Amino acid sequence: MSATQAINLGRAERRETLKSIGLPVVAIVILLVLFSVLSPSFLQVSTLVTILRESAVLLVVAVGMSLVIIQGSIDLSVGATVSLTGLVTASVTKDANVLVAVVAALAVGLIVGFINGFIFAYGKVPSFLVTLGMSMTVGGVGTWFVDGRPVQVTDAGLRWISQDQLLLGIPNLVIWALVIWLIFTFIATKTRFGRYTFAIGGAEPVSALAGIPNRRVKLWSLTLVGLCAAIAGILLTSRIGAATPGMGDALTLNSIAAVVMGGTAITGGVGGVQRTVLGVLVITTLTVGLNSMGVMPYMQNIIQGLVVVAAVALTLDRAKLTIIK
Amino acid sequence: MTSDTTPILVARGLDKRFGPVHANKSVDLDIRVGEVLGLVGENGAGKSTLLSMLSGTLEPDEGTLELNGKQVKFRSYYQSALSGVFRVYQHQALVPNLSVAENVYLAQERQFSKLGVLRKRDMERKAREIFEELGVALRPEMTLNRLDFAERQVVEIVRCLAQARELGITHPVILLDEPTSALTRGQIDFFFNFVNRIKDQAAQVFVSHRLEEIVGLCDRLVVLKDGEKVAENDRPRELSETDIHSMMVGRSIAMHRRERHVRTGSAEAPVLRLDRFSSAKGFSDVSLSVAPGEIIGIAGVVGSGKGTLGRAIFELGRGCSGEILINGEAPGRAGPRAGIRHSIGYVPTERHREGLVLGMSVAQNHSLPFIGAAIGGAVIDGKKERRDAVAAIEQLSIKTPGPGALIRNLSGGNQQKVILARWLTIGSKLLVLDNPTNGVDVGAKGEIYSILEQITATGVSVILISDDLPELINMSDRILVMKDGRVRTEHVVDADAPPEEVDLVAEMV
Repeated sequence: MSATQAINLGRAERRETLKSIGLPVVAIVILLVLFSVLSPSFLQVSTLVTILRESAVLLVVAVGMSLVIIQGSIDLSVGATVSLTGLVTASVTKDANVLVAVVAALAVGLIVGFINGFIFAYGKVPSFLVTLGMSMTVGGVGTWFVDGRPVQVTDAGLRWISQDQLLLGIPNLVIWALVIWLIFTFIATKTRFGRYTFAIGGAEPVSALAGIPNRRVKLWSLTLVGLCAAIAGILLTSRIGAATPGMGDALTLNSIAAVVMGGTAITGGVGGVQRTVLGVLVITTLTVGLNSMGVMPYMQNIIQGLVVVAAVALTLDRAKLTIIK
Repeated sequence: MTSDTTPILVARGLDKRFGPVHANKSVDLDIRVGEVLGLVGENGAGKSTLLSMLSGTLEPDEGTLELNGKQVKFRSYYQSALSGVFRVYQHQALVPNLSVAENVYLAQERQFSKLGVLRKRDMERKAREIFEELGVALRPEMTLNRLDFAERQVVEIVRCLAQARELGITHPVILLDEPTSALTRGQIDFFFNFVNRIKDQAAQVFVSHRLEEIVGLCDRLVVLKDGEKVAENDRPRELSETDIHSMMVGRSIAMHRRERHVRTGSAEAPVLRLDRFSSAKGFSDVSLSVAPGEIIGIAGVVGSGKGTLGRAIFELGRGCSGEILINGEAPGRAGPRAGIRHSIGYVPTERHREGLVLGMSVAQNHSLPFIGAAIGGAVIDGKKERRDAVAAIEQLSIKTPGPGALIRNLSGGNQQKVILARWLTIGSKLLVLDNPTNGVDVGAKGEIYSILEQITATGVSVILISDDLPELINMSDRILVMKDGRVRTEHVVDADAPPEEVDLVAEMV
């Protein structure tokens, strides 16, 4: 390879990174401009706060999902886990302290994630199938647990978690989500464990020969996404003041879409947790914008679905450029 | 000789640039029926670019192509195939779950269907006829994935001939792009036999890294260097490999000769000792002792167990019986992580499948075993990672834009050097190398040899598993020949009277 060629390759790589971050940013700006023109009430500080608040729960689920997708797996049970842990939180606060409720919900999330991970990593069942089955099971457990009825939140402590504002009028909910996002960004970019997920997603036989304990990593990453789902379940319940069976269902697909739009390849190995926040913002800006225009819910579904497909089509093309599989 | 026949495909002044890179500089080429034209050059000399321009996957910036005296312009491979110019890729373009006949007539189904219904039997009959005519003993109704690699390679060439016939072309042009790189010695003979047999039915261009193949097979030779045709020879059979080397690199490369440091007396404790080391996966009863600074060469055909033995040593005998001692001690745990922690390094034979994470940077690939075996802390020291990579890049003169460049953009030789550098950086004391110069150009090969020479001088031991016999003879202190999972013979290599290749081959088969 000649020197000029080498320099050229370096440039091509930088261009690639720029493009994968630039595309979702451009999408967000276009959406913001579009909705400002179409809906006069859209461009306000309160709208921006709404976008942040709407983004928070999805972001928490999506950062966990990013880790799993980078590893080359997928978790389809997150939505059901969010519902179940939300129901657990709301129910426990009826007889006990909010702290007990939070711990119980986190434990439930960890257990669901651990079971997923164990069957996937040690039973060698594809994560797609394990978590699809687990999604139905967990959803069923949740519904059965509360006899299919919603649970109202009466505990003030639980409401405080999402609804209060600790600083500068920013909802606590948003702060929790940012903290989780930062922690997971750190895990993915700076820790050994994060590097392992990239290596496994990039080339599993290679990572095995490099001494990486593949099965253990797979187990823990699915456990972590269960934990994220539990946190999201607590935040969501606290925010809407109630828990209902099925309230988290939309989060599964939305989080996968957010991860892919953020520029993480669905085939694994390429991308990053930090980028997922951009994908989340695209989805919520769209939702909030359509709401402010007063678009009917079913119409919203149609538009959202089309936007997700279009975004994924664009990002998949990028993935092909950055990995060879 | 057939050089008086008029060429079927004539290329004049083919020129191609990729940005600042001038990949092909006004190349002329004549391809004739009845001969095999050898095309050689180092990695990056422009061989693949040239083949792509001949077969429609790349459009030349300048220059013309004439097929049977008529000027042609191919805009896609499909067009070029319709005109009778076929390409056989290094990695086969066959569908494994279809039958042989279906593969032979892939994309020609229209000829075999009536009212949209495919008539398999016609297809198989026709394929059988052509197989019989060419003397190929394959059953067309077999599923492709039951054939071995060489047989599939033959199916691919038969496909070119068969499809040409369907199109009414009597003499197709077949471009063979490194077809032998994944074949074993026996398979290569089988394959060459076939190439020779179809000589008068087609014009063939043969690209290979293995110069002895060029010498043995080709009727004419074209050498590319930096995109230019630097030499053309009508009698390659009379050339030696060294002659061709010097044409390729513009200088003559002396065959590498390693300085041997035979340490008299066994005062030093062996780095590795194997005693009746056996595995159900392919070797048994191997007893061996490796001294510091020693290179043990292992020869054997594919399936002799040499590869599995190397892997088992790296994994400290996971799933094996018998005894393995590292520095005189039995390791507690087995597996790659334990092997790395016991200072054993491993370079697998399939670089892209087992050696590299292609989506990662040079630095990340370089630090893989350091981080993978959890030698450092739980948080990655990014500065150290970068520093180590930069040091390795300088030390082994790895050509890369920088430590942050993606590994897949490096040439094969440089990728291999990154894999070697991993183990040098973490200070491995025993390296197990499985065909370390596979698919690496001549220049990088020499550099890898000097690296091995340097590290063995510092006391690092090497187990060199290789299909390249001159490499084994030149580099090893001792050569073990394996057959059917057992060590058959052992040669102590005397620099003045090294073992002969023919003797080793005789013991291998």
